[in-house]
Amino acid sequence: MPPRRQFDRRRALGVLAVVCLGGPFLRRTGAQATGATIHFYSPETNINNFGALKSEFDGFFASAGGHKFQPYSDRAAFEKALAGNAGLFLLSSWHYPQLAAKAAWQPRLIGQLREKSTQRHVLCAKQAVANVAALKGARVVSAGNTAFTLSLLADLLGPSQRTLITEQNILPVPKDMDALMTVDLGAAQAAVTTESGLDKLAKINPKQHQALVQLAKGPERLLPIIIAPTQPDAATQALLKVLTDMGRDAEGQQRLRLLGLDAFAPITDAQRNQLRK
Amino acid sequence: MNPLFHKWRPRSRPPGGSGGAALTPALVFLAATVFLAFAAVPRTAKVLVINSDASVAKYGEVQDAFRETIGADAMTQLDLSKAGESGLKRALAADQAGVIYCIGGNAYQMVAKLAKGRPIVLSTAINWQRFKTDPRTTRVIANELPAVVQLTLFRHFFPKLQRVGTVYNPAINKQWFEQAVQAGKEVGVEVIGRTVTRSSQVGAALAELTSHVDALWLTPDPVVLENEAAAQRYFTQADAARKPVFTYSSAFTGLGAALVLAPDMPTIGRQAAGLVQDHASAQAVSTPAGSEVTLNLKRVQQYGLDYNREALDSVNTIIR
Repeated sequence: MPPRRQFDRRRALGVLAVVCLGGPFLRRTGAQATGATIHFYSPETNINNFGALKSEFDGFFASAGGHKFQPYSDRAAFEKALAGNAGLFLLSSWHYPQLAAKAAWQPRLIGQLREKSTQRHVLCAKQAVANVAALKGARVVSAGNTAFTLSLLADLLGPSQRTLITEQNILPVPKDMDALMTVDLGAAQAAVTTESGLDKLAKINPKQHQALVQLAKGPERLLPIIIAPTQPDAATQALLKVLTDMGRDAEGQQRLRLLGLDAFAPITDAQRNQLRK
Repeated sequence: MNPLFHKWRPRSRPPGGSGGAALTPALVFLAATVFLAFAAVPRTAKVLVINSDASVAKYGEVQDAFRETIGADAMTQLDLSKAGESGLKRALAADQAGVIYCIGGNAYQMVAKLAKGRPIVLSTAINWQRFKTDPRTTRVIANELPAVVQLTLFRHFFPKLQRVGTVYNPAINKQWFEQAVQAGKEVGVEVIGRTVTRSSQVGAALAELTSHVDALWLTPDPVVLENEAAAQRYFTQADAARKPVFTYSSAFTGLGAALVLAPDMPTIGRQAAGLVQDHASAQAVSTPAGSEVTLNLKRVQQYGLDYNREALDSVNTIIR
């Protein structure tokens, strides 16, 4: 019996040492191991800021559960990741209805910008362009990729004139400001941008803004959404909570600004219905 | 512009324009056939892409975006740094039709010498004006963001910016400076300049300028940036005066540039693809349609600058 007691004492001391010295380390690695990943792909912007997004979000998540941010430049790779049926996916509200596997995913959060969850797109051209018909075959710049821009143009031009501008006419550029300034400088005849992009130009460079005419305004479209598996695991639920709270935290909001958002909010039933259309 | 197309078109219209009605239907048909034959050349033939040096990352980015836009089957490519002049001669001989796309100044210089009169698109060439390109045959995408674009983006990131200072050599950049002053008026930023004719004058010019401005604007002026040591001195002096430096190349981020605005390389590749397709009707010189932004938040915070957080969605790279 004495030897056994001695052994127990030694073992107890060992356990105590691990708890005191190694505990924080174990907690940290445990958190990292259980952190979830949010995957991101957007056809609405051509800006290559993936390195900044990855480091900024991962840096923020490091002290908030050890979650990870994974951006994609390729739509197919993003959709392939959906098949893993784990984590969260941040994507355009235009993209979501096109997902083949969307039944297994539930929209949970929606992006917010200045307390709004929608945005409009506009078609602008130089003042000399009298109407939409004059844009036949014209070079059109857009911060969205070609497929997204053609979809916007279908709304902006209407059924009778949607064929005026084809895939060959689209010039994707990184951001709205680039698109709007390109038209003024003559490298394109028209631009598809967000209404807020046009408002920004009006504030910064009124002369360039006045040189443009707004030919068409599209409908309100939902901002990007976050979807989750129908039954998310604990780590995914924890990440959803972190993302929901990010807009209330100065550091969190700074990261969301990289995505052109300032918060995420729970998605409403009305918005879910809109996504089904 | 395709030179054949360019030459043919005026001949179809007799002087004075009064003889058009005399053309018989057969002649009209013949003319239309010839027109279509020439007009179709750049669209159907493969584009010959001459890359000055494919191992240069930014040239590679441009070429990748060009290929993605136009399709790999629509182009043949040559790395001039490996193929040399003899390789280029063989490629030109094998590919008599279509547009030649030159990436970088070396490619253009050799193509201009060996393929006179051929339709060319040129991009990604530093100081491309020195080549004196022929506007009848050559379409250029400039390698610099126009002053008005840079100033608009300065204001986008720093809404409180009122005065920006630049040191320049008037023999090279007088016209650029005058345009910058005008562009500054559009966005409510006063552009203040100090001229230098020798690199040794830059230090004194900066010392005088820094007390009058909120930020310094470093442009690709060969006198101001005579060598690496000159660049180092520029940034050291700006830092001592706690003035942020806005500039044109991410090569300066290591020296402490607060904001870098450079042309976006993939956009240039996509623009080039458009110019190949519309070669005949395109303007001789286009500006880069996209910008790449690097924001040094470390330096911004160090100087206590107010920046527009909503502009962060326009940033490619953040330095902390």
